[in-house]
Amino acid sequence: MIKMKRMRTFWLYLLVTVMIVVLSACGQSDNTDNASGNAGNAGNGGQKQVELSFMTTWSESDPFTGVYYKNAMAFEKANPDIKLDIETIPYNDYPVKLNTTAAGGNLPDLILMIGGGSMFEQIARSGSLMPIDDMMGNWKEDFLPASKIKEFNVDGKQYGIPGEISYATVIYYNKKIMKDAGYTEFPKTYEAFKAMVKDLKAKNITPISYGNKTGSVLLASLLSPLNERISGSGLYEEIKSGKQKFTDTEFMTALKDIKELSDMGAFNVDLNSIDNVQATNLFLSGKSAMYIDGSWGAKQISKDKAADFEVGFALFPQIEGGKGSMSAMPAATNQGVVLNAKLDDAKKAAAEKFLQFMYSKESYQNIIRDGNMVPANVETPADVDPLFKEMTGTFAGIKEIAPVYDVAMPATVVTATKNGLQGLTTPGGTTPEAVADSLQKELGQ
Amino acid sequence: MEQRLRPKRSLSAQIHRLVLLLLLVINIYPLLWMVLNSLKTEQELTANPFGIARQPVWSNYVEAWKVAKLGPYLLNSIIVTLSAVVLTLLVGALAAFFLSRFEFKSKGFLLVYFTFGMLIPIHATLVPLFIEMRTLNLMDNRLTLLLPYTAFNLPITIFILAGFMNAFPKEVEEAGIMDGCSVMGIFGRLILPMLTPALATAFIINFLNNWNEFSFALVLITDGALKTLPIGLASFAGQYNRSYTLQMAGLTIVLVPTLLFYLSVQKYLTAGMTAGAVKG
Amino acid sequence: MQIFLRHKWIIAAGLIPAIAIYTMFSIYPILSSVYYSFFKWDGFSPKQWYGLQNYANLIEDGVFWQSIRNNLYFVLFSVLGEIPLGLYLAMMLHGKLFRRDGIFRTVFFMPVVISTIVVSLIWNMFYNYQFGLVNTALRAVGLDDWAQNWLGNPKLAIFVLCIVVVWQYTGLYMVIFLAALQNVPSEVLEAAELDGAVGIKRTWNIVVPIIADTIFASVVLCISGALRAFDLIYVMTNGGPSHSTEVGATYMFSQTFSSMKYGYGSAISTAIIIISFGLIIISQFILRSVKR
Repeated sequence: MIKMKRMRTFWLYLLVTVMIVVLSACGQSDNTDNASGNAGNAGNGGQKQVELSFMTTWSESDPFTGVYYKNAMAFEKANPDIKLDIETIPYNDYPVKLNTTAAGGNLPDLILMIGGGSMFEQIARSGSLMPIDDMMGNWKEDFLPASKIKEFNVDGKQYGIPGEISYATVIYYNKKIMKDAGYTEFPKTYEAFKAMVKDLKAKNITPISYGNKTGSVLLASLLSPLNERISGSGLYEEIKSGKQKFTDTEFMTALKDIKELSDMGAFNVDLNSIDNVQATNLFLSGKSAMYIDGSWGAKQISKDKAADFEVGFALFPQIEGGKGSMSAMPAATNQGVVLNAKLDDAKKAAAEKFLQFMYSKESYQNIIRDGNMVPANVETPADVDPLFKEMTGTFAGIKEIAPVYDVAMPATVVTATKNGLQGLTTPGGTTPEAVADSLQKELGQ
Repeated sequence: MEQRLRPKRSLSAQIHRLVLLLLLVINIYPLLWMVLNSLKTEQELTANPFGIARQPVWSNYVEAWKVAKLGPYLLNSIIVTLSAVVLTLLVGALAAFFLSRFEFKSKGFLLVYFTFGMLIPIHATLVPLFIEMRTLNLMDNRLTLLLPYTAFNLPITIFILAGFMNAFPKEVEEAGIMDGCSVMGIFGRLILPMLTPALATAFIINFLNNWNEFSFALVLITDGALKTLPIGLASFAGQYNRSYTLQMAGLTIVLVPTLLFYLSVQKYLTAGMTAGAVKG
Repeated sequence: MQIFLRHKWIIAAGLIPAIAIYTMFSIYPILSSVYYSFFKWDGFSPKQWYGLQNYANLIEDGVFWQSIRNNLYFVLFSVLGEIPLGLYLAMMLHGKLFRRDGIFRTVFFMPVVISTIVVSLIWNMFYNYQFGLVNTALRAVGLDDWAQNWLGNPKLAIFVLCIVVVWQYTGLYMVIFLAALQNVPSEVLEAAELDGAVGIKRTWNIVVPIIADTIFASVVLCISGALRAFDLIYVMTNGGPSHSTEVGATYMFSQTFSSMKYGYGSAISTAIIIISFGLIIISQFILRSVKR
């Protein structure tokens, strides 16, 4: 009987807890309503504070986006009449949040578009975003060339400005391993590169480590440069417009090259089951001669490498008889903030101030200082990381920017290609022909 | 029976003991591994993933606490989780009681109806639920997660409780009627106390589901002051970087309350049939 | 029992709260999703009526069927692995032999308590090609040829994941059965009774009928869990390499949120529900005929 009584007290207690929680929840939402109401009233009187909601991945503690977060904080400090209501979403989950809020018709005032390109095009064409052409007078062509911001331009309308530009393919190599194997200079042609890979493999060294678990690395840092070297920078446009097919010789050659590299053992066996952090660590612990990733990879290498580890930088080699050249490089522009189409005039004016600040000379210099390349023409500050400086020196000869596959192609084709490339580089996986067929089918839909 | 403290060890008993000990190691080693690695640097983790840290990096814990905003999120998680569990158990136990101990026309249909809830892939409901919550003006407050969590855990709760109650003998109600109990009296005085082990099971399952739930929390909560732990724990991975050791430190921190909770509820799992009067 | 029949409204009042919450926040959203499956929709632009085209595409989609096949592996491993193993553990811990050893009960449930992220991280490391525990152990005993890239091998990866799933969830069924066994006097389960085939058979005959309903519920739970499996795969392999570990839920997720084919994703989730419902009916049919 005592037990029963205790049981009843227990349930009563639970019930009370629920009530308290429910009541406190209601109380809280009331409070917030009042708060915004007060702000509105105060606004009529005099100083009006505009609040902008902003959905982003920027986070103070993240080594890659922390600088943007700090720039945004600096903006708030300089503009007390504007309040940023920042919601930070973990990077991997950003698409889910973005797509859900968009499908639910409830986008915030400012939205971070991590990259431009085809996915962004789809969103822009839906009319959910506000073009900023009337604000573009804030940026002069010699400061911010149109060619560098075109990924955020859809059908002739500009929607945003990228904060950084990332080269998709940098070959990081271990100078010591290379020297011991007899290579003092990095090969300039693809044939010589392949010969070196074979030679390294014969010497029982893993030639290249990739971290392709998500599928995006091989896409950006192997397929994209191969396509550029073989076909020049126009291939994706031609395929999208139907002038060429995935199954035609040019694209097939790239797929076959990847298969060939995989078959000769050029990659770490587990390339499709580890991520780029783990692959970088393989490289840094001397388990592979080269590591291939985008220019962003330099940051982790610089941070985590041992003091005596000597890293070299090289560009993807020239393919003889190809239409591309080493003065071109696939690159993507990232970190552009775009505006909700439904902004009223006050919010729009505040948003313009925000963009002006975030993509100003000072902000861009902060971004460079943090180890990123920017689309704007600004001086490199003196206090940048020496390794980063050395890497950008390698890029000095680059005159032309070619599209990156995952930016240029529709999202469905990108997903299919990621899986196709994983299949190509898996023993007993798919053939180049099968991959090309499936891509063509996906594009056709 | 109780006099014999340790039963005689037969050969088969020894074999069973060996199997259990083996399973014990398999089950506990991974946790140990996580705790050990939470004290390493990122390079050490790669170079030596199965050893002990040469120099424990305690600052990982401080950093993890800060990066994942564990302070505020911990409190939010506790509030949301517990209130949802309580609501689910209250409503679920009542429903299970009627579905298990009574005969009525729509019973079969209702059982099937609740089964459907266990088949729903939750990612399919994100967008509709988002729209619904916005229409009902339920976004971004403490009720936001309470209702979906309850709805999605009700089916399993009802099935566990009803399945358990089905094994009770008919005499329970008959005894209750003899004593002049009302329907709710039978439920409250006779059934609920007998239900303790199943309630504990349901409590644990509900708790873990809510505690670890990610997608609803991601999509339905925008206000940083209301977010929950799983969202914080996801912030160790960025676009190009991922901090495994910090993540393991964060996960270890979060594991502590979970374990404490389980240990405190565990004894009710085997609370047994103390309501001896009605033992069939 | 007749006294209750006069109080039909009590039954209704007891059931309505559950039905209301469940219908509003679980059934209504999924019905909306079924509705979206008849549209072509990227989530941003206006919806276009698409009729049954999404379903027609689904039937011809090889990746979808491969995902479902992988789901079925999960079902098999869960039902034939987790339930018997969980029942065995529960009977052991309920019997006299290990009753007092609370440590077992705590530790066997550990994998359920820790979040899926932890499970994924740990097992990813165990299966790692270069320095994973499995390969290290194989190489140590001279079986270098057996060492492989477990999660990168399209033929093996799904089974490797199945093992992790069994590891992760056996404890859950142990707890469920442990609670159910409280209805069984522990003397019945005395360790001596498990000696030899006669003992096992006798125990089986006594115990199983008493907890039959719990076993049925557990099978339903297993099937529904296996068909909705998402977190573990999403973190460990992300469905790769090249769809070889894709399951219905991960495929639905990537179609919806990466490929932005919202209508198609909804069609996949509808198909998952239909298939799992079918499986549950079949399983209950089998179980009931076994019971008789």
